[in-house]
Amino acid sequence: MSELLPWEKVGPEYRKNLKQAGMVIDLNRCTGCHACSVACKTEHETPLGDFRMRVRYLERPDKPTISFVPLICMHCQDAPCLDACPTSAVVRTDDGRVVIDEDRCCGNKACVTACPYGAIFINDETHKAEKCDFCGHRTEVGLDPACASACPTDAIVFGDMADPNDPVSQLAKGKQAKAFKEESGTLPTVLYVDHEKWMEQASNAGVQLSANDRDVTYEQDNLDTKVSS
Amino acid sequence: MTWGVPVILYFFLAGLAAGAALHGVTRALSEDAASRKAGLGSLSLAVGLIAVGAGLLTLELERPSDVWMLIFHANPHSAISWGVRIIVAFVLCCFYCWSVVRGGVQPNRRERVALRAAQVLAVLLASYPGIVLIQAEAIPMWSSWLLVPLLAVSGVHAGLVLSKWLAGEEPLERRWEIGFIAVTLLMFVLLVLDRADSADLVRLDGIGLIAVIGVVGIGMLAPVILILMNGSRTLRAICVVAGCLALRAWLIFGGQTIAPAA
Repeated sequence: MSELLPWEKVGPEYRKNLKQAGMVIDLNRCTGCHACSVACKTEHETPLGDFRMRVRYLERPDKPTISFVPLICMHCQDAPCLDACPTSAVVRTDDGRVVIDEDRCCGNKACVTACPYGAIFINDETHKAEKCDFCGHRTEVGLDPACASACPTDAIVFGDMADPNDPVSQLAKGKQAKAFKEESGTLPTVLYVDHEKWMEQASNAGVQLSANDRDVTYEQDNLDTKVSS
Repeated sequence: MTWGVPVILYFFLAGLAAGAALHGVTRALSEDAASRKAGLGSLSLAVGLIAVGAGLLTLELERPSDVWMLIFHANPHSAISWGVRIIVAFVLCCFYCWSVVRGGVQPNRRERVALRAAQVLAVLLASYPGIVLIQAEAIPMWSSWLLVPLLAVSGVHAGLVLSKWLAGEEPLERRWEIGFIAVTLLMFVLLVLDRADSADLVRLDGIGLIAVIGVVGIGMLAPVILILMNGSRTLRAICVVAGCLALRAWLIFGGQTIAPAA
């Protein structure tokens, strides 16, 4: 049987046996076009200044070039946010995604301070914690997450990390994809091809920017207002 | 900043409440009836302080009206979840101890158990904020177990000093007072040495000023000098309490604003 074409991979049957949702992001292919973060913001109507996915523009410390690093929730297998939340509002789904049950969130921000990747933020409109959920509403009907669908260079590949035959597993293995901040022991399921250690230091806070981050990007213009509020 | 002034004040008041409760219970367990009565004020102070602290903590929530979720939805892995239960048990136990002391008679065996339980809960109340900070893995400055004894000892010390001063009692014995300050200083120094970004944590500008002037100068050196010179006990109490507040302000502000070292 021939391999399914991308537009044929749609429908509830596809991904129905997903055991460990995961993602591989190939930094060699990323052109920093922001299609993923725009698609994500459109899909989830994320407020201005907050990001479920952000493309960071990081300056190399050793030569005058910039690397583009799309950052999202790493859906850790040992997720600190899951342990920190006092109301058990952060839960793991059957397919391994780490999601926030908004009905249980009272906005105590424990998850925000627990996430080493800065992936969680408080939505200024709902006053509840929010983060990437691998577009659960899309993957459960067989679609890829919005970011993976939008990426024009196929730099973002979504799939089942538990299935060795899944393209995402093969890509991770074949290109020796690595996790961000591996030493933190959180076992992320989002892996990066061509990941370099300096990127972790350069992207201090991760997805959400802090006063310590100095990205070369238009998003920096709004940072001072966001951080001081 | 994710956690702000209300969290600092809550950690401060929780420490004071723990110290006040320990003082109240110690008095309540005493053989002397007049001394037992003196415990009433400290137990009332403990409940009042933690009530104000819990109120501030509620205001820090993004959705204060959903505070009930913290009580009815538990997570055994969460330090905050345990903390909420410690606060509730602490307040209930303090109320019971208060009613025991108010009766004026020598506490019986069951009442003594409740008084001992209040002591244990006071220690837990003073200690758990450190564990809450440790769970915040995004903040490198907080990833040290030294925070538990540091916050517990400084909080209990300030609470004891404050409740004794308010009760008009003689201050803590000199060896105890210097002992508390020495342990706090030791934990503080170890914490600073433990962190790779220690130079930024204690330098003489910005957040570092809180550490140098507030924590070490006002909170430790000034009380030691006043003890050695038999200085004003009111000033001693103010310095110790101010140092306790400065320590928490330094930890919360510093942790969230100082960049981790490369």
